[in-house]
Amino acid sequence: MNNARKHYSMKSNRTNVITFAVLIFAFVLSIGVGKYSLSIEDITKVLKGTHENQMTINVFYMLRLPRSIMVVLAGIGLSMAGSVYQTLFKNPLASPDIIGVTSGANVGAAFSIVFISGNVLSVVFGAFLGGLLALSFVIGIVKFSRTDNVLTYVLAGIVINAISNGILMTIKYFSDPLNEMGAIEYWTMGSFGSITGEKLKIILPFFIIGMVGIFLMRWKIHVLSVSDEEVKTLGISVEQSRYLILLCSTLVVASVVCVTGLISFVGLVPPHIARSILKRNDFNTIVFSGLLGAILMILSDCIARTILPSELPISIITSFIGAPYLAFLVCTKKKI
Amino acid sequence: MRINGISGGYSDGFFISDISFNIEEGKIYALLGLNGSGKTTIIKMICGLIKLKSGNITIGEKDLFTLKEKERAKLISYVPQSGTIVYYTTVVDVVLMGATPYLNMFQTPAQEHREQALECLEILGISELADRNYLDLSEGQKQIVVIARALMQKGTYMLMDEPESSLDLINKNKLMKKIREIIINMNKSCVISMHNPEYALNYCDRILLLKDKKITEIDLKTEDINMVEKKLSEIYGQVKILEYNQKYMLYYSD
Amino acid sequence: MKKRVLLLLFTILTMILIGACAKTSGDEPQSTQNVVAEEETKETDVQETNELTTTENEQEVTVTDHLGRTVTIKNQPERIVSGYYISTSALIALGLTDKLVGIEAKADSRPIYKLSAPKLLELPNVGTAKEFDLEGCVSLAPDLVILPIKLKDQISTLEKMGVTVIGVNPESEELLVEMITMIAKLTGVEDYDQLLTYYTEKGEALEGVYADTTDKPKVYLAGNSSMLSTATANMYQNDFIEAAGGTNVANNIEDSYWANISYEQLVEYNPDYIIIAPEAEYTKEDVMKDSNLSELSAIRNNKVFQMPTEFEAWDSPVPSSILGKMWLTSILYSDDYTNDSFAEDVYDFYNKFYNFDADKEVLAINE
Repeated sequence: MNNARKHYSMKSNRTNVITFAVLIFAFVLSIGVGKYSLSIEDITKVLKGTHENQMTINVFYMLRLPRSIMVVLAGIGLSMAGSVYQTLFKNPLASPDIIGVTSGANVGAAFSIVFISGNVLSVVFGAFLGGLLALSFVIGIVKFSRTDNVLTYVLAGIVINAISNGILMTIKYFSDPLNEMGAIEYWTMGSFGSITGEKLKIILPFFIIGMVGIFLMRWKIHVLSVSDEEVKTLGISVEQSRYLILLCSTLVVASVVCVTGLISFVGLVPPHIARSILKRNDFNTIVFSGLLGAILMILSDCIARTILPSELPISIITSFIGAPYLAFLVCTKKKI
Repeated sequence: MRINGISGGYSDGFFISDISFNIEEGKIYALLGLNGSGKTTIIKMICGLIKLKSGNITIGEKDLFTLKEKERAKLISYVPQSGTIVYYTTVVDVVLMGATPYLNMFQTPAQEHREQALECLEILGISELADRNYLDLSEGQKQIVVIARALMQKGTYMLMDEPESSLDLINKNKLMKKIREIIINMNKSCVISMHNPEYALNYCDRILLLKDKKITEIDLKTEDINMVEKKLSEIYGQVKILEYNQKYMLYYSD
Repeated sequence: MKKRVLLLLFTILTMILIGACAKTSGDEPQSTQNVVAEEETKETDVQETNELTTTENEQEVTVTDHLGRTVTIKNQPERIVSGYYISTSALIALGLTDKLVGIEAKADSRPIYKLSAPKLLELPNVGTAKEFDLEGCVSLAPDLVILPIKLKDQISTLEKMGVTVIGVNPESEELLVEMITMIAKLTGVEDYDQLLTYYTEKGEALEGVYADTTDKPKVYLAGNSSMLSTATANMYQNDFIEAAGGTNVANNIEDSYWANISYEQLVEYNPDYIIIAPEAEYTKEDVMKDSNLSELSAIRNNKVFQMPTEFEAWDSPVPSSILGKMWLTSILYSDDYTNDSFAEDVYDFYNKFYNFDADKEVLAINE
């Protein structure tokens, strides 16, 4: 009787282990790739603490490693958050960028750059509040329209994106064109080029808090994939749990995008791939999509930093991967 | 369970008031009424999905709505017209959702819950579906899975809102039979709202007849079949009940 | 079982991350200390490899950059990275082309590089102000990096890594002079005052041209992005017009960046001259044929001029920006300062400071 399930759990374990191994491999690869030449020998020496060139040590610990870690975190964070959104909204298109959370976070960050201060901490808070505000708007619009379907979320996302754009332009208008404007523009493109150990250290606690929250509430997330009425009769206070989970995932998104800027489609594509590989949608799938997202992100970033003499904004690459996939989803109307 | 003069309704104006009846253990109640008569409203009020405007519901000495959602979920389970699962989910995982009232905020079902879920499936005779994807099942199987989930909640009272409505004839009968089996065997009680009085006559112990927002209760064990016929005719028009092989059939006499 | 494996994976991942980060945090204070200590050893490395060039100048130089940071350099830098076209041009003017090892992206859009220092086009680029390539910059092992102050985050990161870096902000003539002085001091260039003297002398000469004019011509400077974007009171471009003996019609707008105005506003200004910025995305033709503007006196009198594009963006505070002022004066006061003598001056300037023979023909005005 239990054979079938054992089979599944073995299969999913195997998939996770393989994916994890690929991720480690990709991570090592990304540590080895970059403008500053670091050989495997160099890296092992640096890790052992026996490297004699201080600059190599600095590059490794202050730039290369933090960047690779941030890339992994961004992939995991955005994909897992996307997966959580999709489960909670019972909607396969509800990823942080499509429903407007990312652009809300963007506006929040821009606001704090121009009106408060450009330090990373205040940008994290700005981005978090902005993302949260955008999210509550989307929920509000969907509630108000009383039509809880895919289209409403997409439309609400378009509205939020439009509003965000408007606010962003206003903020840009009031910004100092030479300094702050550059920071904002840079933001809207998304890049890992300026990640340093310091920034990573500031955002890491927020990222971990959000992740731990998601992890602790993994069963709630699963149960919230059915209609509100059913959830209620299963003994969960729907609103409270939903907001708590959304709070955590928005925190994760904000902590990522406040240092990397907008990265499109990473919240959307990996969860779909994860579901179609595992043929399940439980917490396992959410974790799996996080791993896939990290791999996708590392590969995109490796391309972004090597394909041209100067760096390419990461969203260019993720969009080229993500947009066709989205079109494919829309055309095939696959069972999700 | 005593339902004492409850009132409530939707914000768009539909309102039902002063409904009272009792639900006894080990009995199946059929909630009959025409479309829009308020069957679903009553079910949802009892489940706490629509707020009561007045009246109360008590189980023993306890007022149901002073309890927390979680505690209520341990007493009452709800079976909707159809489950609302949109993603690939295994049947076991659907059933496991029924363990939620017994978990705290950050807990996830453990192995013991898994075993209970498998037991529930076994009781309903669908163990072989355990690892199938819920979305791939037939409507009838899906409904049984949702009932398994309700069973998992271990509540005494099960409220079902037209559970057979989307099924074909064979599956309707199968489902009703199954429901009857578990309610009687496990000494639970059940209120099923439905359209077809035939199923009420064949599978239920009592009928709650909803007409003009008032409940008339009929005990099928004690009531004379002619009286039942007369009462049913009041809402469905001139109907006759035929008895054949200890089964009842309904036809329109005019 | 499954959950446990998951949990394990998650924990491992978190631990790796925290571990990696703890490492960076643990090492950091130490490493900044090391930088100071290691600098000597590193520099002796450089000395060993470049024996011939760095034996004499051992004196320390300290400057304050445009971010208010105090920057000290011990030896004359031999490997310079410039992340801004204005500082790159200044380095050429100071004769430091050979010491440049990396410059900003899009170098091929600057004609001056091709004319004066074609070598620069072959150099690796360190990105733009939007996408600065920290690693690429560090990998060039520079001993002096010059960046615009908008890259202040990157400047502080480079500083922590032990790279000598200055932030410059050449947004006015004064700041340009400061920047040139700063770079000259750090690199040990002594004859930089020739360039600065040229600025003062020519500036005074220009003033002499229009000193007696009371009614200065009204000038409208049309920006790069659109003919309706214009330079406002707080910009370098405003000083540029005034230094050349004109009045900026838009000097009532107090913005600090190019402002967008309406056709109506432009008609109201009714400028005597319309000057098109050198990197404009539209042509003189477009302005002349724009029916909305046909009644402007500048259009009727055919007083629309595009600034020369062949050398540098003379409307911005580049080291040759003095030529922009001179050009404008030659337009506004063509009787007192002729186009021919202007072309002669351009030739002399580039010959002297940038070591190439400028083509005088391209500066001829075809009216």
